[in-house]
Amino acid sequence: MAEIGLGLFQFFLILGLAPFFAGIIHKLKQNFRGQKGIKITQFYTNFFKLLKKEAVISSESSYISKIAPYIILSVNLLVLGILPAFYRYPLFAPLSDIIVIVYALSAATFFITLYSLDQGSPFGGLGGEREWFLTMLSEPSLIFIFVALAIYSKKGMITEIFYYIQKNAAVAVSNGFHGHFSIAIPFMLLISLFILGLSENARIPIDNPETHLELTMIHEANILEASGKYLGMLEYSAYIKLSIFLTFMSLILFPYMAGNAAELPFAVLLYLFKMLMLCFIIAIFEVLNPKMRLFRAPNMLSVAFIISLIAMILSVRGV
Amino acid sequence: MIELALAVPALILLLSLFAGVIYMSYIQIAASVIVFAAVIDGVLFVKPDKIFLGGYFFIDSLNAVVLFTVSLLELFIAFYSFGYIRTEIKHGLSKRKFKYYFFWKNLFILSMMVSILANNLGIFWVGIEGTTLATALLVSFNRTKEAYEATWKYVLMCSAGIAIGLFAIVILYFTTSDFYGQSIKALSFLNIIKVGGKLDKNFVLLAFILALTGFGTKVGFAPMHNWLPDAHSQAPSPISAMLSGVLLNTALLGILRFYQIALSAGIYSAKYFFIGFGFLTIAISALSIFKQKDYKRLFAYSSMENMGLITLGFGIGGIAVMGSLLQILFHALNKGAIFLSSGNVLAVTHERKIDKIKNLSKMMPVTSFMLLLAVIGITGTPPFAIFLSELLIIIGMFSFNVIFGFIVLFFLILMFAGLLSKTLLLRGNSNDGEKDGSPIIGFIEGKSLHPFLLYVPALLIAISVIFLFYLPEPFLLLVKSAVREL
Amino acid sequence: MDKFAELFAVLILVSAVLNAGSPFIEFGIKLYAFQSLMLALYTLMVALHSNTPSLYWSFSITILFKVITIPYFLFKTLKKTDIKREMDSVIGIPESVVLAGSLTLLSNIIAEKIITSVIAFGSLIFTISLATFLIGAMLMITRKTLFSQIIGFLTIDNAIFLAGNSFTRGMPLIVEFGVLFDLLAAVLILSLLIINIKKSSINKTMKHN
Repeated sequence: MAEIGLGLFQFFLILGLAPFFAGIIHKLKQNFRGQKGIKITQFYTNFFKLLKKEAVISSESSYISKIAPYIILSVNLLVLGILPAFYRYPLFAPLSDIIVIVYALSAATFFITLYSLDQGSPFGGLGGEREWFLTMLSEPSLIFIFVALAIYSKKGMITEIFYYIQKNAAVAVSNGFHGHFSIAIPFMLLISLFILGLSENARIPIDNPETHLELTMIHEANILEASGKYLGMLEYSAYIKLSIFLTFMSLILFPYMAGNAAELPFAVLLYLFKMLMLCFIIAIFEVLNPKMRLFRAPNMLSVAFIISLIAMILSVRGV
Repeated sequence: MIELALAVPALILLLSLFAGVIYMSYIQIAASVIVFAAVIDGVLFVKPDKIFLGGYFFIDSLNAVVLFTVSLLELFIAFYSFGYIRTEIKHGLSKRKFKYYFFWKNLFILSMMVSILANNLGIFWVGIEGTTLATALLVSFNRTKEAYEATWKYVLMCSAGIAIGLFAIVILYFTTSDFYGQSIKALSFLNIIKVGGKLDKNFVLLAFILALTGFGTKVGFAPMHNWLPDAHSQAPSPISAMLSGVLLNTALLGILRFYQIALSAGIYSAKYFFIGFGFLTIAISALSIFKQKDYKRLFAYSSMENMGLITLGFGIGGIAVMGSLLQILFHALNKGAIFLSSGNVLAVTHERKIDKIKNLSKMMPVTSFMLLLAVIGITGTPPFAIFLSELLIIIGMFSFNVIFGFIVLFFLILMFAGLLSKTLLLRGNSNDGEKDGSPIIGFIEGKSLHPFLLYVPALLIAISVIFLFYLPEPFLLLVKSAVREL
Repeated sequence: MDKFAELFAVLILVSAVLNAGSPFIEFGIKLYAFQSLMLALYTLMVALHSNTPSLYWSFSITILFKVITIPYFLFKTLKKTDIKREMDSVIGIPESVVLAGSLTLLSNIIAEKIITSVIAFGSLIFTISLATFLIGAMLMITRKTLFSQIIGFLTIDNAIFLAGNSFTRGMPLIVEFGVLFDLLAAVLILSLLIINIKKSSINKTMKHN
């Protein structure tokens, strides 16, 4: 029972904090640029306001427009439930296969592009096309990252993989960096995952989440026609997706998962610290870099792909 | 007194920073005579098998042959440079351009001597890379866009190739350090040969292949030869002669050292690599000679062909090895004669294109006659010494495989035809008479050129003829003992 | 320490891959400096691991030559010639990155075939140095701007030093010093050539007018 309780706590904590993480990145960016900036809770306000508003749906659209936001949200919630962010036994622990994660994320992408096409708006097609262009390039890297982790730890479940890394790291630190433990592999995966996180979550070098400039927008073009609660759900799914990627990064960076309730407070604090640090890094990265042309995105994503490939070679070779 | 071969160029190198060009040309002659005398003394009259300067350098029959060739050609080049500088200055080149000529030339000679005599493979590497860097600014001597581009290609390709050679040395060092520990001893060639049989064969083969491709770039083996015609044609003529005549042999010496190591480790398949690269080089150079429009490039391709032939000879073994060793010397002398006499043409006309030059036989009768003789000589026609060495290689080739022999012979004939037809074109009498002929009004060969410019190539050709009939006994003994080493 | 050594070695390869993925020359020179720094740190780790004094020397001359002097001269030349980015490479950026990845796979296969005996840090370093070597060669072949070719050449050189410092406890110091000195001289001469080529092409157009 305790396991389910703590799992629920983990699930709802990340769910509740998801707009907060997105908000803090936004706020930090604005502060770096010397703007006064939004309130950190702005995205919560937006969400609740959108829920109250009336949803307008185009008369040309089919039932897809009605079900797609629910599917996208639930898929993202599923992945969120799999994550062992700071507690070893997440809510849907038996489902936590690496393949499930990768394909659940791409199912969400599939439905969001389907949704955009269904609207009948010219920008929808544009956005869907661009979304797939990027996803096609980033998905192999994502698979490689998880496969590299699986080979490295010889486990198939995401909870076991990170527990294995945590255990070995603890052993290695205590006896002077020996044993089955590598610094290079997680480091490379972190670089690769960072690039992928930027691309999948429409962050700056690839896409700008703050503007609605039709020539460059990718993610925004997909949800341009959405309104009311549907827009709210789609935006909330985007926040969750960002939190999922940040959590993965934090897990690869320094896996520490509580095994019982006693260890939990420290684990939560560490988790929050890591997440805030990553938010800070992403904000700096976004401020320092200009947005690149869409056709230069393959350069960056191919580098991510090759880095995850190198990590995979390393893990196949053993450490 | 073989140490003088290293000490004198180093001394002249320092001196050339202070002395003017005209003085330097006298000093250079004196220095080259001393070096040549020291080499004769150390190589021909003393049994050469000794280690000197703390074991970093040594001399055996194989590098003695190359050393003798280098110092002999260098002697002639020193005299030619003497006349060349005076002629060029007379024809309007500024003295400032020659300011660092002797500095780079002596650095070139020094690094070549270092790499020839090096016992240590690391030092050999440093020497070979040194030759590339020292000649880089000599190749770009003319300061035209073409010269700079040729230099670019030369430095980058050779440096990359030699870097591959360094990889070979590292791999070899890895295997030999099991026997001699992690010290300078493990890179010493003599030490490596001693434990040859116990080395890991995989690594030695890998090192040999890497060395062959790496240093092979510097030799001008076929797929990596792109830089060679450009660099050799852009350099000033005395330097071209040195590059073509002896530098290629120096790089080949490094490959031969690795070949010796491979043989001592019991890798007998190494010779097929030699045969393959040699054959490819001959074929490519023979085929590309027909479309050349620049006469110095023509002769650069001929050098490539000769290096291919020498490599082929080493690969075939038996009597061909002797032919190859003799070819190293004879080719250097003959190629020297060619580049120096074509240098006369270039110094006067400042024209590189074959079809722009006509009536050479009327305008410069002596030079053009020497050029013709030297070209006939380089193709291996009887009154010249190359006939002997090529004959030995060809005999070896036919006893190796008859069909292969015919194919190589076919390419040699192609080379002969290409070279001779183009050279005759250069000499050719155009019917228009004097009009498109002489580029300088009032040009008289004997007066306008410094006499050394005519004597030196003539002497080289004469020596080349003499060597066919009479080879000095000590040199022959040297070559025979070198044959036993391979 | 060997875990850190492995990390530094891998970062050498990663910076080579990044170089294949970037058309900017200034970034390329910075990456080269970073790569050399990683090489130096790797050497330091090996030195600590095996307690070899000669490797400490190797570490310091690597820092001196490769991390400071050579990038300094390259930046100086870059300033004089005013080239911003790779103009026309033979193949596109993503293709060359993917090619770099395939070269890494290839060298992995080669290394597994060749290495029979046990080497200081496993055959992994051989894979990495071979891959870096091949990527450097690829940069030299596919890039047309003079700077990129120099960077490719320097990458090749770093790969060889990595191999030298891992298989063996470093090359003998005198050889290493000679090699670095030659490298520096090569970079100086090539920089001079870049400036001269730039100048001569300007002069030529001026003469024609």
